[in-house]
Amino acid sequence: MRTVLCCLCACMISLTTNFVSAQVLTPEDSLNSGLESKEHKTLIGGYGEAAYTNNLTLEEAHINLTRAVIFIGHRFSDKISFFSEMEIEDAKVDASGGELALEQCFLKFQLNRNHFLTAGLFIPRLGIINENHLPTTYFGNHRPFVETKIIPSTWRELGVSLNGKVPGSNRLDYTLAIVNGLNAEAINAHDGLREARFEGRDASARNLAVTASILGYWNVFKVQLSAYTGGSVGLAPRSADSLQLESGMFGTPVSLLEGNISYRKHGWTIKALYALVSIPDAGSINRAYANNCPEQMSGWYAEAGYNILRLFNDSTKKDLSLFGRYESVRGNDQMPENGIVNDVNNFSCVTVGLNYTPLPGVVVKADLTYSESGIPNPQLQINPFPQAIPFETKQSVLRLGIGYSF
Amino acid sequence: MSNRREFIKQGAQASLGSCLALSVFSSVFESCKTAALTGLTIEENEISFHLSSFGSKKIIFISDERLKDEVVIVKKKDGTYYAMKMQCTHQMNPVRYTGDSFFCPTHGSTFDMEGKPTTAPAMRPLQRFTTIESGTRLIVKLT
Repeated sequence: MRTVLCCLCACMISLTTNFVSAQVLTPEDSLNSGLESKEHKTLIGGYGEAAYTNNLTLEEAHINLTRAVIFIGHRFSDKISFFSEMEIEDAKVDASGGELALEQCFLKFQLNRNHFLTAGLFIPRLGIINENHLPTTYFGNHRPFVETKIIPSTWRELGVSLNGKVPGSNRLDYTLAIVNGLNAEAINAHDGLREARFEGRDASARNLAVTASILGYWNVFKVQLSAYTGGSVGLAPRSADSLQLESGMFGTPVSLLEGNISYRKHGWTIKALYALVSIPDAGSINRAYANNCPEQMSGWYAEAGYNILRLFNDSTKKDLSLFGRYESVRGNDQMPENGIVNDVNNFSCVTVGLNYTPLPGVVVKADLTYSESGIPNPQLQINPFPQAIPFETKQSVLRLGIGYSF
Repeated sequence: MSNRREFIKQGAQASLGSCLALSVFSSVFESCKTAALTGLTIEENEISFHLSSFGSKKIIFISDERLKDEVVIVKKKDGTYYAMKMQCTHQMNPVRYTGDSFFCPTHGSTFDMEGKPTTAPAMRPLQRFTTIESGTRLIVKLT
């Protein structure tokens, strides 16, 4: 792996020396409007979404401003720009919940027309939603569960990323990044890798991760493969030894492999994605932290949507898409011997609904999700409440919502 | 189980290895890209070339280091031309030609052949440049 890192550094240096020209920011850009002829300009953009959620099975309902996000960008020169994305979840932040966080905060260096480098807090290209998470870009009020449970979108870390067009090809793009690693102590079968992310705050830096992707596009098809592998224990050797864990750059590794394909034509949008997470030393992590870390997690989904307004007007600018999505999530696909299988972490669901886009940047959504899971493992209920309502393995949830981006 | 684990490991290594190799050679390939256009001249705010460069082609890309961005020129059915900047209007990343549309690999925006946005997050069309037919030459004004 040291060799890999050395090669990566070498290629980045090589490309840095090839500064030739930079892109000009266009007046049409939603984030950089007006920047083309003016240097040192700061502008804003944003997105947000709110949803009404009614669990028809449990007869519970709530309404929430899920997120509101402000982009701030600044152009220092033709070659160097700044991007940031600050998010407030659940409208306010106090002891009962909500979150105020930076989702992105990085400098972008345009190396030449086809390659750029980012440094700071950024979102690696893993899956579809992670990088493209505006509510106007996906079906349904809730992001696909596979891309929140298995791929913990929005997954951002600190590091350096090289992005660009694969040389000699007009059909392939790549990303290659080094970021901080995960925190093994917080990996568990229910939340997956979500709580193990550092998200830019005081990340351990003795362990690192490498992530890469290849994205191909041909006419109406797009195909992507992405991978992540990195260490999950950033403790000092003495501390790691006392826990019998392997620390260091790629110690106690976590790996993720993802592939997806999408099709878009004549009002149809079809997507499929598969993701697999492997944690070979899950048994050691469980022995150290008793966090019920899985050895393997996996998930896939397939969805199809059609703009039904095209039935009446083939050239309509509006979009009323009827869609359906099937998902399978296996949070404890494989458990180590010292792990506890909890079948509630394995579930499948079907979501059907409508996305209405009256004009670009605005969406109104309505959908119904039917999910089916296993039952909770009673071994994990230390003090079961005697009057507890029986767990419903089959649930139906109705969601109505709005979203915007500008 | 071990096979799947091995699969992940090998897959991750193969992906990373491929990316590294491609990155290392990128600068070399970059210099090889030249547009095979007859009589091509590039000035600060203007591109000019012989119309015969189109031949039977309906689309031409001009990728030259003297230009800040790649430019695409499309020949319409009525024999007229239009030119656009190959740059996404969402976050200024380069767009790619897919065969029948333009695609921004960074955030997934797509544009039709006329440059109109067809998939969010981009909401505005690709920037167009003025084209002027002057005798046997086509002039593209980059301002």
